[in-house]
Amino acid sequence: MILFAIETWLLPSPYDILRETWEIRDRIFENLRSTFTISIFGLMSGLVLGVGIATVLYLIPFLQRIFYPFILISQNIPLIALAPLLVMWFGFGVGPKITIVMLICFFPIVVSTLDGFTQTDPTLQTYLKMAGASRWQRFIKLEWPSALPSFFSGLKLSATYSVMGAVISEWLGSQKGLGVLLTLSSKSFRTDRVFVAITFIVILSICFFIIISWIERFILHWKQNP
Amino acid sequence: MHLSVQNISFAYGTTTIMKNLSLEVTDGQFVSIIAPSGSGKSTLFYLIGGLLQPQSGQILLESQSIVGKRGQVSYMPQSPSLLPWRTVQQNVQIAYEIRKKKPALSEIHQLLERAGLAEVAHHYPHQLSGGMQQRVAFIRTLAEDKPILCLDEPFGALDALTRTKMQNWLQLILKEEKRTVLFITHSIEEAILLSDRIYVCHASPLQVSHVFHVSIPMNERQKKHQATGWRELTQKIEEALI
Repeated sequence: MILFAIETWLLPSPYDILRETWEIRDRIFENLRSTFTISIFGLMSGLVLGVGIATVLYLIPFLQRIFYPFILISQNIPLIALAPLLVMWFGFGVGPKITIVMLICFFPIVVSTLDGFTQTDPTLQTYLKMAGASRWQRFIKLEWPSALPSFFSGLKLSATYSVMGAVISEWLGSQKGLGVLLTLSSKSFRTDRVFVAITFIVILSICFFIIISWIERFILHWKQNP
Repeated sequence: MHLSVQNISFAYGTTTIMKNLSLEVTDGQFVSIIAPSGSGKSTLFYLIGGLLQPQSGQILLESQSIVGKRGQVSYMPQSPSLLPWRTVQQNVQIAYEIRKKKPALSEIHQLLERAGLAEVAHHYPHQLSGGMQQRVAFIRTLAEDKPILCLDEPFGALDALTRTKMQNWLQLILKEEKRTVLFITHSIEEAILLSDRIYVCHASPLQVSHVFHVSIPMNERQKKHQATGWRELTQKIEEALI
């Protein structure tokens, strides 16, 4: 069916996109795997870095006062400017791409986890202090579980950013990936393939989000039961 | 076990909260403190619990100073303060974990059973009523196994019926688990029902104004106003408070 006589190269129909998906399925799978690898490793390292930074900054308030502004500044450096630098320094391998994703992902995790730590119930704090709990015991048994809901909010945000970060990193020089498929298709006016790439980027983001939501529901199951 | 609070004074900035406050709690006694709301009763517990330090005076437990030392007494706040991600059993277990002692499950089960909580051992706090949550918090306080229990208006947030039930329950539990208790309340009736001795305090700054010994036999106290000497004692305490 043709509506408003829009050319296929301008806006392909869903049927065209589906047909194209089927035709280049092997290529999509290969590109998807590459983007998935960069996203997941970037997200994981961002997670470790984010939780690590949040923990250190929370437990040592003096460091938080010094470094928190720098972390904020780091988020204002345009990724488009930072990425070529990383490529110049570390080459075209997977490493710099994962680093880019990590730099995007760690920030929401730091902010949300720190926020979670500071929102610990003061009555529970008082109880544990009076009971003689050590600083570390209070952190492990009270502050960390209290921060989990906030941490998961940050993680879900990071997960969606991770795919976007992986795509941007692939633009800078890569042979594989949904980002590469996107640029190549766009340059050759294969709008249908651009849509195919976009669709799979969205699907990958949603998958990450859903998986993290499942993990969250499993870990925070005490919040579910009425 | 002997707790002796000797002439302690404390101020938040320039506001004096308590001045030369002294009280004694001896082994196996149930001692209550009645004072107006917002008079700094909880601050007294923070001082005994080592969370705050008095500007002057001494707090001795078995003749040893416990000023600034945490973990020397068990503390139960007004709100149940249960960890929402832990089940009833796990919440009691934390008392052992803090002491780095391996949780004795049989011991915990025994405590829960005695408190009528065995059936809800694997429930989460939000699945329990307010009264049940306070029972769990009390059992956790017992499990801490400290020489003295500091209970800060534990039934203050409960409705009248639940409160009466909890008072009877506490009496029963304490009959079996002989403990030394320092109890903060603003209910005269509650204090007479449970205590051996009652300290009546004035506010701003918090100071002991009167001490009453409750000589009404335990088995008579359930009758409350019908018990011999109840009305007279209530009247005396009321007068002391005004």
